[in-house]
Amino acid sequence: MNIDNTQSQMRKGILEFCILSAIKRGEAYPGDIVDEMRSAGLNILEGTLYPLLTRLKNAEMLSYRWVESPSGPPRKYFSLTEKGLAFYNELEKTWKELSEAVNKATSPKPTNL
Amino acid sequence: MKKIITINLSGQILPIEEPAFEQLQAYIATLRKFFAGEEGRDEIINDMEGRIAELMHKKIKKGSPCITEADVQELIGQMGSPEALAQEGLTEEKIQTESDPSASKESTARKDTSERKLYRDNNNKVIGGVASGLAAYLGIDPTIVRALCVVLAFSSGGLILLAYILMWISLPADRVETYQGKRFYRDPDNKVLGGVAAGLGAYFDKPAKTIRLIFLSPLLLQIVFAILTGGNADFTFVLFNISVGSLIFFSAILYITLWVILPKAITPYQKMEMRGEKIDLASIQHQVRQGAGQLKEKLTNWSKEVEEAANDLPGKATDFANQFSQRVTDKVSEKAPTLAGRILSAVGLLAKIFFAFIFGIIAFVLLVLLLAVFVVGIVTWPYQNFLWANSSQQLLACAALVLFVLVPLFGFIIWLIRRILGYKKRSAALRYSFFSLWTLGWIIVFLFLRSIGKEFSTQEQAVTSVPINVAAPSSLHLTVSQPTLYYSNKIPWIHVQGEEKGWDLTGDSLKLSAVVIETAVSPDSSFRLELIRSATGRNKEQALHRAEVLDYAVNANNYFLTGPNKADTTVVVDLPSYFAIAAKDKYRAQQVKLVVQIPVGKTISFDESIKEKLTIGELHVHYSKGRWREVKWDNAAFPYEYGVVYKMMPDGTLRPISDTALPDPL
Repeated sequence: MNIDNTQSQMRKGILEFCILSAIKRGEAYPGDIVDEMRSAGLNILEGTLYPLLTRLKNAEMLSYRWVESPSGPPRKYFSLTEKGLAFYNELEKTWKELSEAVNKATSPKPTNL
Repeated sequence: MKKIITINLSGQILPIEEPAFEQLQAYIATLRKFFAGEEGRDEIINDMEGRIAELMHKKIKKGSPCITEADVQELIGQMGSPEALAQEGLTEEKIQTESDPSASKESTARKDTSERKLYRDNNNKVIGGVASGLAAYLGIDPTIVRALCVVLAFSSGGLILLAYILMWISLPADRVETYQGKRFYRDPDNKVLGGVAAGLGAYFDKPAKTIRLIFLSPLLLQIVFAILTGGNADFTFVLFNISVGSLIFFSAILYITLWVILPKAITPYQKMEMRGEKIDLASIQHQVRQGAGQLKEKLTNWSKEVEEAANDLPGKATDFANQFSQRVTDKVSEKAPTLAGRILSAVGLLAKIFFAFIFGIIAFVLLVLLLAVFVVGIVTWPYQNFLWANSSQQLLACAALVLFVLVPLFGFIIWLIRRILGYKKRSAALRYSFFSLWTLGWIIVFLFLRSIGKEFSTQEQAVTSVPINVAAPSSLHLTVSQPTLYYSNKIPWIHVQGEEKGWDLTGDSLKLSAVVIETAVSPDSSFRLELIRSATGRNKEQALHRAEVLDYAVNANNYFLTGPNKADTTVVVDLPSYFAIAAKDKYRAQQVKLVVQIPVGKTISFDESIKEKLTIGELHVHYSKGRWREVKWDNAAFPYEYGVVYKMMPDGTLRPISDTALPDPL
């Protein structure tokens, strides 16, 4: 059993959900998203973010517009498309069910009186 | 102390230590390799470069004098090295390979250069990925292969297209590791016109000025020589001018093709690719030597692959057809939900495919025809002095050639290149301008043909009789004593083989040996020779004048004695072997006809030279009411045998009386 692999699989699934939720709160550029993830305690490599964003954009979950930046090159500000929003809602529902189930499954069973 | 250089990364000007820059370059190159299988690789790399530029910019803003190696290390740590990214299980392939160890072995084997195989490149394709796959196999820049394909597609007459389609069907598609190294780009930073010269300069490590000079040199040469000759079109310079002229044309075409085909170097990585490693003669020689050793091996492998491919070609074709029909049905069913709608859209799609096919064939045939017309136009170029009545007609002819022939040709080339480069968006402006130019071409062609047609509308004859200065001859002997007319090779770029007899063309005259000979019964007892010269023109006077100035002097002054007692006189009718048309008189269907009237009971004979030296035949030009009715060359079979004596019978026919050859005239 490869523990590293399992971990990365789990992280990857969650990462997509987190990115979508960060963008759902408002237009964001990759720098914002990384900062948000970090402040939430999810340490990700920025290199993982770009392919994911590109893939989501190519799947028409995200759209972007260029915004001039005072510090550095123009930034891509991403926002959710309708399709992306529907996808996010699906993910959220799944996540809620899953986390509830996982919580229940992993928490010690209450002793019956 | 480390050298600090300034780089432009995603539009940010950044000071950076040279070793740090090298590190950054290497990092981006590994990222590129790492994301090779990813769909939006270039976009990902561009985004990451942008982010790196932003982070570096922040560093400089905070007060760092320059980006150091440590800074780059930190950046790589933040962005993630390829190894770290692989650990995150990032790309789809990586997960697949981890779950399927056998697949991973196979895919690494494929990327191994020692076992490089020919695939179509699914990753970097424009049409079918054949060129890109071939480039990856040979280890060269795909742009070179694509450019070669375009050039060869025109010069090989569609053979390359066929080869391309065959390879498309026969080669398996795979994600081929793309060519790494120096690539051709246009350099937008140093551009004057399109950045082509600047990009080539960067590639060959030469100043852009040098490349520009090379592109412009034919034009400059032309100007220099125009000044030297004082604008005089001296005949010796014509050949030179033509060759320089075609060089100008060639360099312009080359520049435009490169402009269209080369990508712009926008990202820093592309700029690095453009400059690449220094290429000098030694390294090229080294590569050539290395390549020659591998060539044999490669060829053997390749032939094996071709053989294998040929073996399962039928299967491939079926798969291809199935996939295609699947795609068609998918497209049909996604479009229309109802059955009727489905049928309708299926019919529509089939019609589209059908028409695309038909139009493709028509376009190809037209292109070939137009090319032929163009070539003929160039070949008949020296005739222009003989054709155009005035300079406006000449201008019209040139405009017709350019607008009617070259515009669609250019349009087709541009369309093909745009298609090859994958521009899906149609350019309405381009289309409309081409169509309006072409429409103009049609109008001009029509006007031109009308104008030329009028030149041939009226035909006139000048009839003169040739005096026979011999008393009471009993026979005529027609002969040609002048040497045979051959093409004199005065026009340097016209070379004919097997057709050099019977005509000649020089700068100021056109000579033709086409003569019509007719026989008739004389109304009295003497021979008569009637010379009918004819020509066409815009009006009667013009046509008549042209006919009258036509120079064809028949000589009937010599005779020799024949018969048992040398009592019979045979007049030698000596015909010139050609008539000449001066350039100032223009070619307007000038013709010469000789009518020989023979009294009943007298004889006539024809020398072999008539057959040898003259082109017996007649051109029929019939133009009326503003339209061409008939233009026909009658290669009339001469009804009489050469060397036979014919006698005029009372019924007006000529009958052979002996088949012994006549004695040679003195």
